[in-house]
Amino acid sequence: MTNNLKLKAIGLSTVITDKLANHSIITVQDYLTLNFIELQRKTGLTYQKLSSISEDVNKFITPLGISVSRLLQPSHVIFNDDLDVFLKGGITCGHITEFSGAPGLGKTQLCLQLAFSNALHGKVNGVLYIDSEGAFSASRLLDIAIHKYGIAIEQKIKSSLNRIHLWRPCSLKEIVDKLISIEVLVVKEHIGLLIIDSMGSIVRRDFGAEKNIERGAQMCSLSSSLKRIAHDFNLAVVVTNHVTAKVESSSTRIDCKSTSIPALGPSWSHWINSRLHLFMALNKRRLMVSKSPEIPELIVDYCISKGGLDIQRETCSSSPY
Amino acid sequence: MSTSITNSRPICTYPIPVSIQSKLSKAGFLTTGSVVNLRPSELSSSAEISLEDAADVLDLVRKPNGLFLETKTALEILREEQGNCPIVTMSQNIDNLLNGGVPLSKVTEISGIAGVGKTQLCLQLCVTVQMPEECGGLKGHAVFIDTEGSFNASRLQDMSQACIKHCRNSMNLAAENWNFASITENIFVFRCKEVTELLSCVMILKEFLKTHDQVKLIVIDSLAFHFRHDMENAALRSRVLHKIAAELVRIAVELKLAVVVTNQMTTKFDSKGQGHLTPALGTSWGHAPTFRIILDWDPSRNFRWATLIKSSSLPPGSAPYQVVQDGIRDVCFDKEVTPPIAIVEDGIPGISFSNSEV
Repeated sequence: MTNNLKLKAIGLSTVITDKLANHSIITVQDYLTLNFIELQRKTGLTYQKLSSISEDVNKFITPLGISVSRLLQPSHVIFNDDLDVFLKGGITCGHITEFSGAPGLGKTQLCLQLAFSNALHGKVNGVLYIDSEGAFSASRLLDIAIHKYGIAIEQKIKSSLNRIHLWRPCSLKEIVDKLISIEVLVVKEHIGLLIIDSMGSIVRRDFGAEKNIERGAQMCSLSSSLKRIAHDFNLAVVVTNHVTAKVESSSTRIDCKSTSIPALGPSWSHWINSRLHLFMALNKRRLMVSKSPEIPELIVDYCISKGGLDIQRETCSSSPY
Repeated sequence: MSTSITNSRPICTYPIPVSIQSKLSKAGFLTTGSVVNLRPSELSSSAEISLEDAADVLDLVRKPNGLFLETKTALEILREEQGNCPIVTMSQNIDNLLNGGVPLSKVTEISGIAGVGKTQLCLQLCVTVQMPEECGGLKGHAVFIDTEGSFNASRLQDMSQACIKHCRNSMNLAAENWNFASITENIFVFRCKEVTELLSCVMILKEFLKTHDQVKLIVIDSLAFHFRHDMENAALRSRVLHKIAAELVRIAVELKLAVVVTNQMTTKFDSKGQGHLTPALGTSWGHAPTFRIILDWDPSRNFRWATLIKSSSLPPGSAPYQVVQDGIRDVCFDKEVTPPIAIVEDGIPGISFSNSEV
């Protein structure tokens, strides 16, 4: 993390870094959190010297500003031909998208299909699938290959399957500790899509289903690291979430009368960029885009077939803002 | 994490190309400790090497310290899965529903109202897992964690004798190897009388399985019993359930065995105030098992249905079956029957027979 970056690694002269280190100023964070008066008092360096050191440090750390025109065309990874039309291309790269929904509605199916579609078409060269529930099924990927894409060529299936890398971490801590390893893998295997199935079970496994401060802190730190990785490497990050029961009986939401809401708390909802919520109403399965910076809320019927996600385009309805 | 000894290990001892080595030492990176916690982009810009080279260096340096991801490709997983033989249930209908039988490497939950036959199905699986490979079995042993005191040795005897007869008739196998005595020897029963006993039992399973590596099936009958009595505090209950679920998933995946957990049914009310029967232990538990089956009686009460309401690789569906003296078997029909379907009402999973109103 940039916070822990040592001043030595920035390119300052050894004389300076040694002098600062003598006063326990070793990392960038140590330096930037002190003001000039404190720095002068501690190190005895002159104001001009400190200004020039600060300039060097700030120049190194500051992210590059990019013009809005570059931001106007975010790229997407493909998801489902019918749904992508509504999603303006697919799942956005550089963002965290969440799939939430009750168990059995198809979140893992969506993830598997997403993984295979992208591995096949080669728009991304690699997919990292982080599985915490043991639900990953390679045979299902084979089904999708055969039934959705009609692929009979074994070689093509094999090469697509080779692009999907599965990792089963044991805990939230392991993910946080190995974030750098994730980055290394992203670079080496040219990963373009990162799927975490499911964030809900990883967090709740270590912390239980009730809120607490430490859980919130770990989730916040993980989500900001994921966003950083998503942005730096232009990855699409997809996480799945559980649902939890909402206690109050009256619902203020006009679109669906569901009393189950995405888990992990309302704060988590702020840390993700987009949310696709799966639910069932009147015996029909529905997919709702309930949070997105790009498109208005929309609801569409779907079903899970042998070939994966099938959208009933005619049923798509958008709620007005 | 890296110890101080590894941190001071010089970079030149790793198999890094010479050109990269010189750039690293020029930039001041001489020891492991100086690079091991850097991100690829940081190392790349500091040492003026390409991002790919930086990633390679970090990979080499971090691996001996255990800081790497143990990944498998989907192709490797496919080969493993195709080599996994599921555990048959002696009902062709249920086996077809599950694409062969109860799967290995996954956690399967079986829910149902009291008396519908969850324990019967579990006992049947304890017998069929031991069938010789020639008959479609795994020649594996079973662990039965009993929380309700429902393990019934005489029922086991009925089922075993029927199963042995079935195998001998179809395969003409010799008598000695497979008999009731060997079946009973290879089922290990743990009677847990309190939730703490259950918790420790699950946590100690891994050790137990090291010395009993032929076990291919773990049954917990039932997981719900103690939690609904002993634990009033919902938050604590949820945390403990998650701990158990995580351990079960890990055991199933790493040791490639089938974990079957039975659950009771409870009534939940939706937003309209209507009650629905749904598996107990809460919504958050529902996310843990990969396969969820609900057992229920047909409205005619002549036979039963097994409905798959959640799976990661199979379409939902229902299979009719019956419980007879010999165990779980198929049932034949003389007229049309309507199967129940899996529904999720207001986030409450359950099943519905289309004739009966919900």
